[in-house]
Amino acid sequence: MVSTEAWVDRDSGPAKGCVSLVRWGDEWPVLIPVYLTIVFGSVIGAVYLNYLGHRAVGVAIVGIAVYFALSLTGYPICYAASSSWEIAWISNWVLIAAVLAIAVFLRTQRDKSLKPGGWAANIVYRKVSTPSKIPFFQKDLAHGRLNDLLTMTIGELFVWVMILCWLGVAFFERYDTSMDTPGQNTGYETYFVNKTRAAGKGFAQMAVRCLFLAILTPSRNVSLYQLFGIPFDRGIKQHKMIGRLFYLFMVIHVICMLVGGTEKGVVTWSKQVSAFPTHHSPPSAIAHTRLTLSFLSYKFNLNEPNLWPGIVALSAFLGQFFLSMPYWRRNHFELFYWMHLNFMFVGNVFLIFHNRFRAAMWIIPTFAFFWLDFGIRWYAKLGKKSELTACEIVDENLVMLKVKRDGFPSKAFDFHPGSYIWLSVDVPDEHRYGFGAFPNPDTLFYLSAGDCLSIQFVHRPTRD
Amino acid sequence: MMKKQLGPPAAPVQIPSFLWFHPITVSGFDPSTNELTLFIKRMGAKDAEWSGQVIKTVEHVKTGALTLKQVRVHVGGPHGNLQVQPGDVDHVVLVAGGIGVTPMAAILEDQIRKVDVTTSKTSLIWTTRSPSEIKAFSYLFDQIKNLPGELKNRFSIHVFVTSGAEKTQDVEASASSVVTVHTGRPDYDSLLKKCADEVPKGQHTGVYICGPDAMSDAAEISALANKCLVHRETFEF
Repeated sequence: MVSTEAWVDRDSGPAKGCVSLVRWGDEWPVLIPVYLTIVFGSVIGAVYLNYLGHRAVGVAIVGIAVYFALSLTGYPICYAASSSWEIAWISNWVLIAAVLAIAVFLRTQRDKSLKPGGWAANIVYRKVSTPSKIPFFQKDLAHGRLNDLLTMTIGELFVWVMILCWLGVAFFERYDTSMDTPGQNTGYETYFVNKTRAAGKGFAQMAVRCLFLAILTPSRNVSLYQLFGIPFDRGIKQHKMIGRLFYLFMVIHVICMLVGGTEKGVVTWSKQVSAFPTHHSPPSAIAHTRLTLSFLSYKFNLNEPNLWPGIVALSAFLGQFFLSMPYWRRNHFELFYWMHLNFMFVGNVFLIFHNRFRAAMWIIPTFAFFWLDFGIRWYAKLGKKSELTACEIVDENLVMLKVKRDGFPSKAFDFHPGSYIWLSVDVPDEHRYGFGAFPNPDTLFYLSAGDCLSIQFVHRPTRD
Repeated sequence: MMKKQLGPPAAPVQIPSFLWFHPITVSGFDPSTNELTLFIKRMGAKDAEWSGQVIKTVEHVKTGALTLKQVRVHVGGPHGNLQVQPGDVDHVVLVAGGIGVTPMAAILEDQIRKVDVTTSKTSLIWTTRSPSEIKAFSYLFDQIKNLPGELKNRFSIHVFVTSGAEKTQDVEASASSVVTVHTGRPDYDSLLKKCADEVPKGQHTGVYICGPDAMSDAAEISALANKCLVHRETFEF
């Protein structure tokens, strides 16, 4: 029986001699609701404050809450891990401190040295190179536009080097921990020293951190963009780059695990639910977290890594990657957008089922940021009355609309040249029959959630 | 009976059309009425796409089948900003390709609105093959035409028509007297060098770019070679 302690002297690793806020014992499962409450509560508050126009206060609240949430969550593993784990832990704080320092610099220097001609502007905004005219560099292929890499600013390059170092630390920590021999470490991987599997686990750590950043970057109102004061559409470029890195690391992780052997110890393809204590889960912990889910006939235990949910997550993320190709983004934007969100939701949830211990810590905060930001934007879209005041046909392929929205402009939503809006257009039901083009003739059937939100399956007859 | 709705085709789950939000660049903002002006171009060849259905909706309004009030719209935002603020530079150069002119129109309109309180020059270099697009934005050119002489001289509008010389006459008919119409593609090296040279040493030229990747790359290379500050729209998600 290990009891929970507060304000504990660290007795190992680089932080030896320091004091921990909390060191959790067998009661650590109670941390889960505490963690969720802190993360979601702070983000709800921050989003609402941001919506009212108090952006700086919102960012400060999120920063403090993230500190407490991460302080609480890290330590249950800390006492059981090797000293190298603490390097990764410290690297998280170094990254957060660096992000805040950069944010303070950008905000305070915006009207000073970051003005055109200022010393900081000449460094931070200087491009690494110029775009190439070679078509391969210009085309937006699976690897992205290589010209986007060439035209990074020095500031962006600095942040990327910082992030890559952070990912590297996470990789080597996990690799090192996984290669420990029994007696050096209590993790289950310890019993199966295998370089390929260890590398696979290292890539998984990098992938989940990339996923964290990739979900964080499309939150428009709350987080990074308010902090840095940079435009969202500039940040979306980073979202694409970090997203591609995530897919790459995820695929390498899967390949390594398949090559190194998927079934190890309690982790098997045929595993049935295990409500019994395992060698790495103390009995009291199991008693507190007997949360099991059924997926078809297969059952898995959230207190252990599970293989099949990993396959579902992999499928969802590969589907997301496929529908993120330029063809879909440009020609079927709505399909891309909604399926991107759906795949993200399925992928993240099943990633947590795959390995809750390693994934939840990164996914839940970023989920909280994204979905609550998403929710408040939808409240603003649907809760505020908008009207179409004029429209004109320019030609058969171009129309002009004039729209107004209550409460605009405001502190939260003001207009700048270069702004964009999100627009939905709807007509009464009886007029929908007048449109001859929908549904797509290729659609065999679809699930229709109409205005009344009833769900019906509709068979689409084949067109002659 | 099949229920037809505005919305994405071929989606496994169909969402009510009022929930289908699409990002649209704002082309203009009227502070006196708080109205936002939007231009929506058909994407893809089919009416089934969102943009095609919006065009059909406008057609129905124009034929009287629908009233403006019957068309329900929802608006989110505005979001987004420019990386280089036009107020921070002495020469604002707007480089656009096709419908990529929409964000440039908002900047141009803002520059026209602030012409009394600023001293900066503004140039638009727009490549298009559609005379009707030029006609659609002619309201901006008319605003420039109506400025007093010394203020009007701070604006320079160049339109390059790429769809063939036979359309040049249509374009000239659509454009105002302040617009210089060219045929063929622009030489960004010489145009942007000229823009940069017009600014005294120690002052700054900001180049704002929106259009196809190849065009944007060419303009960005020229802008950087002439030590201009560059804002490039990455609005394609």
